[in-house]
Parts: sequence; structure tokens; C-alpha cells
Amino acid sequence: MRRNLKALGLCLGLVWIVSCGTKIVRTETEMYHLFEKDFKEFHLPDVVKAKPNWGTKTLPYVTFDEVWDSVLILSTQDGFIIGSSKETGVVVGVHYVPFIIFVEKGEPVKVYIDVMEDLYRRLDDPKKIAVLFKPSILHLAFGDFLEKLATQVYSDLKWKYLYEDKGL
Amino acid sequence: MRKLRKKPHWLVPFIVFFIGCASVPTAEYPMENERAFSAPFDEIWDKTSMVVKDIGGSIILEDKPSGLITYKIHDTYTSANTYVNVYIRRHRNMMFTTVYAVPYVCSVYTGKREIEGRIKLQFEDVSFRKNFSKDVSNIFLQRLEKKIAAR
Repeated sequence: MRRNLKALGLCLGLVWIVSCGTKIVRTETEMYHLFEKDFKEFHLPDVVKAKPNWGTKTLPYVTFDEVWDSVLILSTQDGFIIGSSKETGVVVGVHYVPFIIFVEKGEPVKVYIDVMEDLYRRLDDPKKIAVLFKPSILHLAFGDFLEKLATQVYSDLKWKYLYEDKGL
Repeated sequence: MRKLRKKPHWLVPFIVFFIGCASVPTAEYPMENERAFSAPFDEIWDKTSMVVKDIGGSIILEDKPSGLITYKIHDTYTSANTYVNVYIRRHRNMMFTTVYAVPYVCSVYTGKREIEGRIKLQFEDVSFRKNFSKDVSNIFLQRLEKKIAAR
């Protein structure tokens, strides 16, 4: 009995010593760095790099400005925006999934959306990404964004009576 | 004559089914946190920048062509950061402008576990998120209203 107690005490002691010796190592990513510096060092990706492939939607019979307005209405509800440029048509937002939206000018207007995994690139080893999002999570985040966008864009055109009375 | 009278009976479930399938499409995805002002865009933009400075917010993003401002407020008590998107929307009628304010609470993302936990919380606690969101944006929008009224 005493032996068992001694062994138990020894084990507990070892566990305590080992746990005291562990050091929490924080994996620093570009995202971590950006948060620390209030996103001041964030640069919008160029158009070619920003042409994402997770989802695409073609929106005919509408102008770039109409689509851009709808993209802003929806994306500001999906995360806080850290970069945007109407000139290049790129919006980058951060929330549970960092996203990038690219609105391509032309007739018809095309909209692309993707996850900004690059922001989770490890600073100590840039080849590795600290966070890889599962397709199920991406589906939750982006699944219906483009459908919502289409409804938002065309609502102004289809249901004009909603706005005309207000003088908007 | 008999056949004609019987037809409607078996047609009824189909009619009910088809009526049930048809729904009025949602016109928009409205934001609850918005105010409409009868003032031009430039005036609202300037006043919004003033209000952000007054409440001690630090600017994350300022994109005037798009009408977008994102600012951060740091809560020293909880050491949480609140990020607020302000979208100043132009209208065809230049004398009208709508302002939307959507806040988010965040700490620094450090690793996968934290993010997954956060995702879970975000999806589970929708009512908390909505109430918090309303409070923060209402305070901002009320200040903006006062600022515009004081012109």
C-alpha cells in the first residue's frame, strides 16, 4: 500500500515538474502581426493575385457601381474590412474566415470570392500555413454569399417601387 | 358532367403544393444598424470622421471612393478590441445618404484552436451578437445624428 502511494506521489511529482517546464509557444502568423499593428502594414493584393477560385458569379445587365455597392453592403456584414479599392474592385475582410472579394469590371460583371489563407502564413517558416480551413467551414462562410449578392444587386432593379417613393 | 365535378378533388393537393412552393423573394438583405440622412455624402463623410475621432477610435481603413471607414476601439477592462465597419452609401438623389455601422469583437488570432472555438461561439451565440451589435452601432449612430443636427 505504502509502495503504491509512493509511486503515485512520484508520478504526480513528475507530472508537476514536467508541466512547470513546458512553455507555451505561439505560432506567429502574418495575421497576428497585422492585428498587433492595426493592419497598417496590410497591402491589398494586386488584381491577378486576387482573382480567387472558391466561388464565381456572373451578373449581367448591371453596372460595376451597382455590384460594388451590393458587395459592400454584404461584406461589411460578413467581417470587418481591412482593405478595399473601388478602382481595382478588391475587398478584403477579416472575421472567422478572412475573405477576399474581387469584382471584375466589364459586361457582364463577374464577382469572385475566396479565403485569404495567405494571412495565416507562418512568419518563421513562410512555406507553411498555420491555419487551413476545412471545406465545410468555407461552405458555411461563403456558401450563400454569391446568391445573396445576386438578390441584393437585382432587388434595386426589380422592386423599384420600394425606393422611388422615398426619393432614393 | 360527373367527371368534371370530380376533377377538382384530386387537383386540390397539387394546387396547395404549388402555392406553398411559390414565395415572395426577399427584396434585400437589410442591415438593422442604419440611419438615413437628408444630407450630401461629403458632409456625412466629414461628420463620420469627426465622430470616430471623438469616441477615440483608431482608423483601420478609410476608402472615400467606396464610402467605407473601419475603426477600432480598445476596451482596457476586457482588453478586447471592437472593430466597426461604417458604410456611407450614396443614393441617386444626391441629397440623401444612408449610414450603416456594423461592429465586431475580436482578440488576436493566434492559432487554429482559438479560431475554431471562436467560430463555434459566433454561430451558437447569435442573440448575444445581435444585441451587442445593436448597442455599439446605436451609440455611434446617435452621436452622428447629434453631430449632423448641430450644423
